[in-house]
Amino acid sequence: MNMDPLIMLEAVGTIAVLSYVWKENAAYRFFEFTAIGLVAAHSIVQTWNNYLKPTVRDRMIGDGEWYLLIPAAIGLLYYTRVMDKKFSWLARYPISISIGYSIGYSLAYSPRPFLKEFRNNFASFGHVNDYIFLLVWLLVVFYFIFTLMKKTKKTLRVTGAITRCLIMIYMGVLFGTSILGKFSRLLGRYQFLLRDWLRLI
Amino acid sequence: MFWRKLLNIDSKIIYVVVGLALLLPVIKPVGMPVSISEEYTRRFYNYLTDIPKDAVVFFDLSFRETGEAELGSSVLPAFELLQKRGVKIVCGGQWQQAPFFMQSRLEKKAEEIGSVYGVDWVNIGYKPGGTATWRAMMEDFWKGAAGVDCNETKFDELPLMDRVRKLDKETFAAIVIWQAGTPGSGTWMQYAPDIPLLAVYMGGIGGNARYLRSGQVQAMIGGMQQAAEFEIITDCLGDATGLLDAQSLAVLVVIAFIVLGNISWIMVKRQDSLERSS
Repeated sequence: MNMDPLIMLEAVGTIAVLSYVWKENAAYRFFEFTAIGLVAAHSIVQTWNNYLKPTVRDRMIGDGEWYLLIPAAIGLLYYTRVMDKKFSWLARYPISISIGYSIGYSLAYSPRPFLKEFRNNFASFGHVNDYIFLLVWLLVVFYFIFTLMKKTKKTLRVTGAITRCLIMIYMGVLFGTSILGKFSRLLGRYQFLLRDWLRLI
Repeated sequence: MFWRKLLNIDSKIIYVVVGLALLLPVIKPVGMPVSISEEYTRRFYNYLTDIPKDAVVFFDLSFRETGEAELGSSVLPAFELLQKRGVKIVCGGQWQQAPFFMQSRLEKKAEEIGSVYGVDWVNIGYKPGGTATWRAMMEDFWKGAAGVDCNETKFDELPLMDRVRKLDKETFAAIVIWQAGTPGSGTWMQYAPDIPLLAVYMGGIGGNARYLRSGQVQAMIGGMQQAAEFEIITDCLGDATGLLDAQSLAVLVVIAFIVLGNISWIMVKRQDSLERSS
């Protein structure tokens, strides 16, 4: 058995978290909260090292880019939310700027990969898969557009039933992928416990 | 009644059985045969081997510790394959964890194959800020990445970084992403569609196959199966080849539970309707 304190701690943490499968317990809770705390602490250190320190030390003091104080001041307005109520409205400025920025970003860049995917997928037809792809796509689009008409039109009821099966197959693939991902995660932990901690394999 | 008992079986028993099905082959692998997928693994391998010598490739390690067994096992063969061919590598990640915990494994591999840190490869670590940070790196890599690697070494002390001034197609011959979720390959499809993208997905390719068809991803592999195939094709056997047995057995157990569950449900339903009619 590996008696390295870090390995021991990791092993105890792994077993405590896995014990949740049987029943929620104090050991699981302790490690859950510890993990959340660690992530929060790590993020703060990362932000300090990667952003605040280089921005203040290199760009502001080193290169004299003092205009950076303006966005910094706007960012600090977020904290007015926890101050007296008569100042809390000031938090709307950084919120509105960041939301506006995000929306602008999305409008500029989000349609591009989707349109490219759509265009390229229907660019050439030579293989039987291309026709299957087109057929399934049409069926799914019709399924959702004519959802309400399915009650009255028999043809749509039939295609609707077929499409529902196709959608279920797709969902099954996604579910299967997710389950395999979960297995991989558990296998990684087994490997750690058996190889790195207990040295059995 | 047997079927009713089976239908109401305690979920803990299912967890234990699936857990054991995963555990036993880890202790004693069966050594199931693995065939190489031409459409995915061979294509992925061929794309990597076609990257010209001295080109720079970006490794986006976007996963955490839980993905180490599956995704981590294909990072090392890809690293070895490219480094031996003289391709330079810059590692980073959209997730906090992998760029850091993979550093020691990459260092060990680099030492084995004689790669020099800073000359042949660099790990810039995780840079917070999401897409805004990547966009900043596209304008100015040094400024966007705060000018330091994962060990806080300044870029100007790392000769390879002289060649990496922008995250664009002129600098990088390809981006290879190992992703366990979001953010992942979508970032590159959205913001860097000009740079060839190769992807390794956790669990399996699933719905991502459409990106291969549309040409937004040039080659992809997914899941333990193709991680094992990649280890075999690169002759760099690691964790995935051994763990594939465990995953296959667990899948068989899950399928058996699904079949039994459905049979139980039908049998119980039939018995209930018989009881109602009598």
